[in-house]
Amino acid sequence: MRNFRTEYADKIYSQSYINKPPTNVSPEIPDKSPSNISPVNPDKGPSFVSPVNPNKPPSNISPANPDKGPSFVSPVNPNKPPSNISPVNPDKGPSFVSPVNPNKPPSNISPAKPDKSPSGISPTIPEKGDSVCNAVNSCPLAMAYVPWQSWNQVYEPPKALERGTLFPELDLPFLGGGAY
Amino acid sequence: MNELLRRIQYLSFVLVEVNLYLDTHPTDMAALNYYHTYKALYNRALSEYTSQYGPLTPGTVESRNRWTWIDKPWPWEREA
Repeated sequence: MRNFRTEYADKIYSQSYINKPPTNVSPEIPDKSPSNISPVNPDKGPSFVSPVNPNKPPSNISPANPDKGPSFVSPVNPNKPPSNISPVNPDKGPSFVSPVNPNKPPSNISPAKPDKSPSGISPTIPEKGDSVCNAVNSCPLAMAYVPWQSWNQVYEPPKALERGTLFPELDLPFLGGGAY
Repeated sequence: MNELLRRIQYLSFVLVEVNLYLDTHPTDMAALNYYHTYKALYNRALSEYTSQYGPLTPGTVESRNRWTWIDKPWPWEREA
């Protein structure tokens, strides 16, 4: 019904994952190349990951330095072996990624399948099978995307009060399982 | 409900809406013009209401010889 939501999600999808469709790689696949977040070209629109030199070994999220306070994306050390999400020491405070077995091959993003998630935390995705949900499911965890609003047609004041918003583009009644 | 009161309600609602929009778009002239247009309509409706029925809020008490806020009927008790 509201196609702009799909279009926006597709736009974000294409900007964030230039030339590379994102895939969720299960940690159980040992020979998969350790890179799900492709190197981001700083010239190409919004980027949510700092630019990574593509000549460096693939490494997006390196081990957090415990001396430096909270750090979720630390500088890339080119000498380190490919690693995206480092083994997390459970003693080191809050972690949003569950401990990874260091003997396992590098893995990036926890699997989309709820039953395979090592953290036991799985995103609640409506099973609508539409492209919005699929694109969201492929985005990096814990990233919020808020499109910039612009001033367009607005409701007449009585209608605005009735609908609970002045903006037709925000008039998205919750229908149990998603807003459409 | 009193039609004037209803008008005040929806006008104040759209003022809050455009207020929130302007918080993040402070130089959006279309939104700012909208705000001033509807602020003027709101002020007019509010003073019209106050002159007919008395203060709608304590802040709109205008009488110099009596604190009319406590006078009945309360805004929500008025019919038609």
